[in-house]
This record gives sequence, C-alpha cells and structure tokens, in this order.
Amino acid sequence: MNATPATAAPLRDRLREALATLLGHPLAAADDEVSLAEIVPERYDSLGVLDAVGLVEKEFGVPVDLVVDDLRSTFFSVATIAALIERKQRDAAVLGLLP
Amino acid sequence: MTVHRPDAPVAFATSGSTGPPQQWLRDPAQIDAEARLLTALCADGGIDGVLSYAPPRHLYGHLMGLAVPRLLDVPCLQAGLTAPLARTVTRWRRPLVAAVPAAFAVLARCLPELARAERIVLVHSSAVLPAGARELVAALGERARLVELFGSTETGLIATRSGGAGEWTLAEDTRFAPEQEQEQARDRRPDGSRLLRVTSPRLARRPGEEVPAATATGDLVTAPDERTFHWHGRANRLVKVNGVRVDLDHLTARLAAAVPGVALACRAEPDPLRGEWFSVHAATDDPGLLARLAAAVRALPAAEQPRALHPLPAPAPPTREVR
Repeated sequence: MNATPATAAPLRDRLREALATLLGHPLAAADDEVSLAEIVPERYDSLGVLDAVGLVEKEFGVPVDLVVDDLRSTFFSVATIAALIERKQRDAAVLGLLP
Repeated sequence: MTVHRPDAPVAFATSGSTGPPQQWLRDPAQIDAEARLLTALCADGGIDGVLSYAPPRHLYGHLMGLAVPRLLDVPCLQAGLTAPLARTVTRWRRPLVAAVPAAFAVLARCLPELARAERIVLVHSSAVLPAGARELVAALGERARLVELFGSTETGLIATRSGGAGEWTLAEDTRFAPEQEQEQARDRRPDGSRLLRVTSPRLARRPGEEVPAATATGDLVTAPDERTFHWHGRANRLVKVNGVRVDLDHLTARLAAAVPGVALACRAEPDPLRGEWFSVHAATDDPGLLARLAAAVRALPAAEQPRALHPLPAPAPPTREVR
C-alpha cells in the first residue's frame, strides 16, 4: 500500500494504468475526463465501479465512503477518481494520518 | 398499453451464454405458493420491510421484491449497489435483505447502520456464496441470520439452508423425482453423486407446453435421505457470474474460433462481488495473437466478460466447479 501524496500527473498515470489492468482495456490520457462507463461499457457497470473502489482503497491507501463519496460523481472518470484520491490524501496529510 | 391480467402467467427469461434466452412461465398460484414458502423461511417473527438488490425482472427479484412484500403488506425498497443505504431502511428494526453476491460487500460498509436493527435476515439465492457473506453475518452477531436459496428460473425454489454451509433441505412441497433405471445408469457419477432431479407444483413451463412432471437441474448431488442433499458441483462447466449463467466450454470454443491456433482455457475463480468469475488463459506469448484475443474478449457481451486474460501458462484440464 502506498499512501504518499502525489502530484496530479503521476497519480493519474498510476491510476490510469491500474484501471486499465482492472478493466482489461487500454486507457489513454486524452480520455481522462471521459466517463469510464462510456469507454468500457462492457466492464464499468455497478460491479465495475465497486471493483474500482476496491482498487483505489488497496493501491492508494484511501478509504472510500458510500455515503460521503457519491460514487456516481467521484467514480465517473479517471480525472474524478484521481481528484478524489488527491483530496483524501491531502486531508490525511493535514490530519497527520499518513505514515 | 399492455394490461397484465391478474390470472395471467408471469414470464421470466433465462440469461447468459447457455443459449438463446428462453421464456419460462409461472402461474400466479405458483408465485403465491413460493412467496408463502419464502415468507415462512425468511420472515418468521415478522419483518418491517424488504431491501431488495435483486432485479424484479428475474424470478428471485420478483418474489422477494414484489410477491413477498405484498403478501406481508410491508414496504420494499429496490437497492442500488453503488448508493448508500436509504434512510428509511436504517429505521427498520427487522429488515429482510434480498441480496445478490455484491450486496454483502456493500452492506459490510454499512455496519453501523445495520447494527441498529434488532434482527436482520440476509437471503442469498443460487450463486456461489461470497466469503464476505459469512464475514458480514459474523460481524452482525446474533441479530443476523443467513438464508440460502437453491433453485432456478425453471424450477423455482428447490431447497434451502442456513448458516452458509452443510446439507440442503428440500422445500416442503418439493421431492426428488423417481429415477428410471436407464436414468440411474446415465446420471450416476463415479463419486456416487447423481444429477439432481426434482418434482414440485411450482415447476415453470415453456410457452405452449404443459408443466413438466420433473426437471433435472444440471447439479450433482448425493442425498443422505429423502429430504436433504449435499451439493457436489455442476455436471457441466457452467458458472454463475453475478447470477448470470456462463458456459465456459461454449465460451472457450467461441474464443478459439475467433483466434485459431491458440490453446485456450477458461478457469472459474471465486469473486467477492460476483460469487464466481473466470479468467481466460492463453498458451501463447505471441503479441499479435494476444492482441487479437484481447479484441475478441472485449467484443464479448458484458455478461460474459472475463476477469482477465492471462498469457501462459499452458492450459490445465478444465475444472468443473469452484465451490
């Protein structure tokens, strides 16, 4: 588990690669703002979103809350997921929760 | 506008890659009888609402989300897997949850809300029980009860068990079908198991056909007595991915036809969200062949998408089941 805060570009690169492996589909940086359900409709259904939640928690060390983190908006695209991770890592750093 | 007559049969379709979708009809009296069985099994002691993760277009979702709440005159909320628990549900003291495999992982994130309930009955139907189900029941302690249902669109409820392990007990109106001699010889396996064949007043019928006297399910069982059986697995290489049937032999053949020259194997695996899933293993490291295979996999319908495509190692003999 790696909970080190990262700048947007490397974090996005790492997230994009992990999601591409998870979803079995190449993801291009140019499509970061595009809905993952549009790019990989056969895999990014509600179960695919839950798979992505598990990946984010495991790979980026941030907990995802079904109540606070509206999954429909936060797990919409690579960009929105990266923003969620970045915000949670920033909050954890402020609160001194990072190792 | 189509008006559904109250005495008209309700149609349900089988899904997945086991062939073209087939319609199965159930009469209202069959649905009512099954709802009464489910009520006795899952709602004894009373419930104040049903939270259903199962789509009502399928038999299980129709029964748990419509017929049972109607019979008990309690509200039902249709739940989404990616949405938080509705506030209404968190106020129920005795909820009944009609789960799908992924629901257990979702509910495990809602433990504080669920722990407010006096009692919670979790129902799971006809798919491999994910490990998270037992963990959730353990976390909820004595207030939680897990009821597993064994059945299909074609048969309706066949059997039940509690606690997530052990023998299955036939529903009270269901019997093992008497075996003819030739069936005994054909259906027996070297390990002593045989194909499960049942008869009940709730078997579905195909349009234009009579209700069958008995139905074989494709499951291999041993029966220690007239009312219970032990499930050994499936006679074919069928997996149920989130309740959708996928025939791994059929899928392997289709992929092999799309990309000739590569030895392939589809292997079933447990999955925390889908109950079971599968991966495609290809005995090649040729980038060109792998790219063609990946394209063929991506072209599969959503319900038949594998978890992953793995190059090498060489395929092992097909496995029959994963439980």
